[in-house]
Amino acid sequence: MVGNVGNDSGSSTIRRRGSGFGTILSTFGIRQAAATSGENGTLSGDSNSNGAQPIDITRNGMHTQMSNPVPNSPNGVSESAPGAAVGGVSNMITNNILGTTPFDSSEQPSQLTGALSAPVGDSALTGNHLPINLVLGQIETNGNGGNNTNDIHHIPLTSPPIHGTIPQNGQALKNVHHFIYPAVRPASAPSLHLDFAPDWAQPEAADDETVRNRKDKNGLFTLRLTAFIDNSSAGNPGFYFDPIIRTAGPGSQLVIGRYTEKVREAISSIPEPFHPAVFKSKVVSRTHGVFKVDDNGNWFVKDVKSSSGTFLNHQRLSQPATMSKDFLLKDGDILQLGLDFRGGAEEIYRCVKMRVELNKSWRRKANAFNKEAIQKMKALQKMTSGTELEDCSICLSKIKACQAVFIAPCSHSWHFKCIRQLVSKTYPQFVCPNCRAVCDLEADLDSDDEDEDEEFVDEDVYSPNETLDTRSRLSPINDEGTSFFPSMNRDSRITHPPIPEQEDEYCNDVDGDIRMLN
Amino acid sequence: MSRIVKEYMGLQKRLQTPEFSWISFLAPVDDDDLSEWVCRFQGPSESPFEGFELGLNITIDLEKYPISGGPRVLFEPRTVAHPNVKWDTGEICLDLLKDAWTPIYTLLDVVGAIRDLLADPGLDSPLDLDIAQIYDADYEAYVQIVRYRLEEARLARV
Repeated sequence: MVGNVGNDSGSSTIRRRGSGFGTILSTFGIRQAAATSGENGTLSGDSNSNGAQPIDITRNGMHTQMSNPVPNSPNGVSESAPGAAVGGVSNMITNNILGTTPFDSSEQPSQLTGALSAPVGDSALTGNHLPINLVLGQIETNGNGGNNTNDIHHIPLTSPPIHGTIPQNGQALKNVHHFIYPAVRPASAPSLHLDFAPDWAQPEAADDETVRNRKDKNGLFTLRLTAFIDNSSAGNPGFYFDPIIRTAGPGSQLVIGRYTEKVREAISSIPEPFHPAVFKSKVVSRTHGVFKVDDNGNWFVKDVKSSSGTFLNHQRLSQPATMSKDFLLKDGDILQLGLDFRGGAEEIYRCVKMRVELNKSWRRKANAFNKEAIQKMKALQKMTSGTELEDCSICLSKIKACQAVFIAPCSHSWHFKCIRQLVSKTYPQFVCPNCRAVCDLEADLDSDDEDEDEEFVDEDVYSPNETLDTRSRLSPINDEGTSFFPSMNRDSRITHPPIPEQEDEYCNDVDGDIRMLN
Repeated sequence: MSRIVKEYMGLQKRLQTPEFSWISFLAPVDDDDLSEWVCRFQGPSESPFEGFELGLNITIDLEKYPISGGPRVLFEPRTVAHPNVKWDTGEICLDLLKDAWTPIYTLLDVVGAIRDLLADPGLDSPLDLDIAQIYDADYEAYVQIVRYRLEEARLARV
């Protein structure tokens, strides 16, 4: 058995996985190239060449493989990378017998040939799935050996298996690994191979704290890709896709490619954060490029001989069908895959333009203003409905700072996500689900709002002759405890105890809110 | 987490509060399928239903609930004689279950509204005209019919 040892339960787990793996293979009618040890030798000749072989991406298979957590051995901890103990989510690559192209050979997952182990994954959910190793662009070989993929696990690997030079209809094929390591890279995993691009920014040194801040709570680095939609130009606005968020441990490599049925099948059992980044556009090659992340959370992009190119901030990474260097990504970079075909009239022929955001940079942290706004919103709701609803009354979950919220003119509020359907169903008429107040969401925003304010104020708080400017005289009325605002003010004292002298000002704030809401 | 799951999680706790002591049972038929629920509750006091336990069958369209549709609620058929309940099917005529549904209602709100309806029938649009007429003309007779039917159902259950 390759790459894991020692422990019966571990082995059996892997065998079980292996048979599932085999099922996938036979489903595809594909045999894993590396399964035939004989071929390994014959094919490995050019293993470290630079991969100038032509690529045929017309026939692609794809393999999935996920390993289970492997029971710990005491050694495991010491073998793991120093400073990477956060989370301790670590399993190990149990098999690495998937084929790889020459260009990929230096950056494939570890060859676990010895009795290696890693710390047992903690309760973190993600840990149970990692590491993941897929091969995109895997080919069907005509070799012997059949589909007995269980054998795969018993082939001792002493040198990297190399494929990609297997002639297939006179052409070589491309295999690109998609591998996601857990927070702690398996001790045996080689450090990521990076071929820095000349004339391009190099990663800066990062201290431990910086690196820690780049990680999420599971100790993984994160990447977000959002469609870059250009509405300003006369042409097509671009290719839209839902935001893609991926997480990966140090040393991982994520494939960028085209969404195909095979990809869909292969990734169906993997949690989404570990999927490759695939797009439903025909100008994207099946294996177009890769993202890599190093131990410090620096992300890189590389074109792996895509047919239509990869552009980073409008600069093409490599000539057609050639491998590019690794380009360091900066937060906010614009990455483009391919070029519009036939003018991009049809969406599937559009290039994929996206904004790249790295390591949680898109997440908003609640600041004092956010928190205060939430408090005020709750107070507003309490003021008008008499009850303080902590939760969104539709999903029954709390409304928290930095969530998108919809506040109706009647002062009831919900998560925008929860109310959206109700808003759009009868737009522009909106009936508040809480109080059934009806409002017109298309009402003129510049209508005599001052009059309306006055009206509102007159009815509820003030004697008719008072003007808006007298609002600051509210305080005496407060003490009678009978009017509308006073209860509000009491709330405000509760929610903002440190600033008692702010009372009048706060009162004005509330008016401001109301004016805004009206 | 879906809304119904959230409701279910908070439900058992709320059922133990005095406010809902009149509900003896409200739970899904099968924990793995939250679309079918059963409820048993005490008839409202100072009504002909006082002292009897009533059963509801609740069906929830998990796709729609709660945004575009409330639960479908039926009394156990042939137990409840009431102007707004169809005797044979147990169908309940209650605006909250139909056009007046809004997503802020929960199952508890629905059961509460049905209980209120028992004590206070809406005679504007009765489902059971005969009962409605009796209710209107001879309230005592109505009480007798209701209690006779409930007693009958109780005996049938035993």
